[in-house]
Amino acid sequence: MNLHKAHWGKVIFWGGMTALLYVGLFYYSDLLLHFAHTTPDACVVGHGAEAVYFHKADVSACAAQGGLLEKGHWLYTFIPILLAFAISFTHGIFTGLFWDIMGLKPAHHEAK
Amino acid sequence: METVQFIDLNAATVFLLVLIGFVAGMVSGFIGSGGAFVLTPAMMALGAPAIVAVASNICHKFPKALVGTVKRHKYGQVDIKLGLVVGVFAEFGVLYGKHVMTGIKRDFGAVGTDLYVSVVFIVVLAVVGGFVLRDYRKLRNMDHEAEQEIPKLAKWVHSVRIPGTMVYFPSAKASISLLFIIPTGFATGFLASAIAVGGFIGVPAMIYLLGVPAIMATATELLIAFIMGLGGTIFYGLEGVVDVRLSMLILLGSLFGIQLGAIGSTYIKDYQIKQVMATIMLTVLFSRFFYIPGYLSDLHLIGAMAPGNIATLKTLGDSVLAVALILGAISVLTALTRGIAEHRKAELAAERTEKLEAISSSVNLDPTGRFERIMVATDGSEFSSGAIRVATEMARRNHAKLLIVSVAVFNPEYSTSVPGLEAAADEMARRHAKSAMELAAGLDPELVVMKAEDPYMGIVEAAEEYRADIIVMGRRGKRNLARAMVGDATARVIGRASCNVLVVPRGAGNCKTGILVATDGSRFSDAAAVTAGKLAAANNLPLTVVSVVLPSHNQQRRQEAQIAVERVRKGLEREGLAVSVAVVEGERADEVIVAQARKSGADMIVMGSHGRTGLDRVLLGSVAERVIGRSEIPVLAVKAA
Repeated sequence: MNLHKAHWGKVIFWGGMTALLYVGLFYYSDLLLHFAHTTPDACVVGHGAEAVYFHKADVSACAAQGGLLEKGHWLYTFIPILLAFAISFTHGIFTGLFWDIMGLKPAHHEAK
Repeated sequence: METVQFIDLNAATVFLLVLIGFVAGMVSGFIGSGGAFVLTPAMMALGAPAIVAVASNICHKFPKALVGTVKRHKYGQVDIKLGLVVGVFAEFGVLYGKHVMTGIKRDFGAVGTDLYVSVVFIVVLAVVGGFVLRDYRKLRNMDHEAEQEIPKLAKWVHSVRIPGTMVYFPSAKASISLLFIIPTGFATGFLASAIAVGGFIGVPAMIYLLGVPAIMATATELLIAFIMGLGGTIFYGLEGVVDVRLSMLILLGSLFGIQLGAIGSTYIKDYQIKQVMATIMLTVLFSRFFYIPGYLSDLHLIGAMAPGNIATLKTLGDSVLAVALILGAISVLTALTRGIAEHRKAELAAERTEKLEAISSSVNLDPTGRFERIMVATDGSEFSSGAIRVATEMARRNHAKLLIVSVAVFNPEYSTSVPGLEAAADEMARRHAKSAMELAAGLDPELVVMKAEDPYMGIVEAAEEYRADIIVMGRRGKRNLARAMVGDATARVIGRASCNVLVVPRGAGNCKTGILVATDGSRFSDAAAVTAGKLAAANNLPLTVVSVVLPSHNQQRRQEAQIAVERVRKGLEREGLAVSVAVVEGERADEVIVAQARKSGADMIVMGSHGRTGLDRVLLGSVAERVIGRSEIPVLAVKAA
């Protein structure tokens, strides 16, 4: 088996997995941003993509902005970490196979 | 109350982020640095507040660092103890750095952090860029990299003895006081949290202060980067400033770019890489100057500037940054295209010569038992010594061409501004190959030094390119683990190579007393039997054919095993060989095969390797793998023809 003849099937599988993760990332991007902003306590003004977040907020200042103070949760900090691991894993395999199938390889030299 | 606005993503910003990630990755792979010094300012240029840019940059980096750590740990390049100790203190640095950053954000707002990050960038890039430029000038005037010695400062550090603080670090081969380790870790972490590039301090400090060899320093830095990155992401995440969309978009481009850049770097000389690195660093540094007046004006530290002027300066800064990125991209692509063209030309010429040579040498058209070109892989360790000994003897007996392959492990990511890292890896590989050559004196072996990200890739590629009939390699034992494990490189070579692989344990010698061939009746086993027959005939050795049945096997399976061994016996006896057969029952096939080899006095086991596709672990049949891991005599894994 030649190293550079990586199987197309594998390329498509890992490429597909990566694409799926990215589609998920953007499909749920508002939710992900919400989680990021509300890891600490945050004042949320507006909804969805239009939401504006204020950190280090107190109830009265938040109410003055017309927002709601949301209690943060430290566990949310692991969401980007898990995503980063997952995407890095599938995408790393995919790019390796991709350049492999493109036939790109490092130079080597020989000495007598 | 304060607001941290994540940037709005539209098609244009997504495209730009992926492109920036790609180019930064390419530059990073090419010049061997984390590339964050391009990414953080680029994200800031797209409108991300500095704290978000740094946090998102750290978040995209740590999983890559983990993958790198695992990879390089397999080749013994990571000093885990040092990495963990420095990593723990780096975490304190990250924590303090984040504290400084959030303090600035609280007191001066996002623009305050912008100014802080820009100033740190300018100082660090000026110092590191200056050093790289100096290295470039030095290297350009040298033909070859001088062998690296322990720096004077490190020698002094090794000589300092402070009772109660001394810890032995294998990579430095010395006991070092924690009083030197603590500031190294702290500064690395502090810088990482400020600009997301801690390696600018960590790697040079490990080399020049602690006396760690460059290759181990860059590998250990990966572990530190992982610890810091994970910690940094958690710390910044708790502040609510990690924009995972930004992290993943730059990751999307950068993973493509890194590999392309890393490949490109192998086609040019070390000093050229330094030249590109210095140029890019100094250009990025230059670009930051254009932003500073605007920040100062916003903070009322200077007289108020007209918004139009601030915008113009920002555009100028963005343009200079874009120039830096374009310069980087052009350098990599030029090196790659030019290098590949030259490489192909050289390969074609070599192929023509080889074809002529091949016709004149003795001809054997059966690839299963052909031993005309024997390739032995060496990594300079004690584990390769047995392989070299056996391969040399084999080449002598078969009047074969001996090829000695050594792999310069190249993984430039995170190697930062280390002078001559590539050259050092190359030099080390060359040294290993040359010491192997001394053992093979009189055979006129050919030395092949491969550059590859993983040793197994280099070995398999060398075998393909130099048309090896067999690869002979050592087995890296894993201490404290059941011996039923083969080193990863060995298993992968067997899985991926198209030729047979002979795995020689450290203390094993040549095949002189007999050969045991294991069969399960499959075509893989048939190929093994044919090869074993050829070897036995050439060396006039007795053959034992064995098949294993497990207690759980039914009568039909037992009969099949009997038929399998008889079939092989008939086939081999037709060739005039002395063959004994045995069907042996046991709980574990590998234990039975190894025990049977010992009992029959065989000093080589031949068996089929399962050439199944799929994940690496399945590439090598599990029984074959366990036999290789357990055996004290050489095991030949035969590929089905």
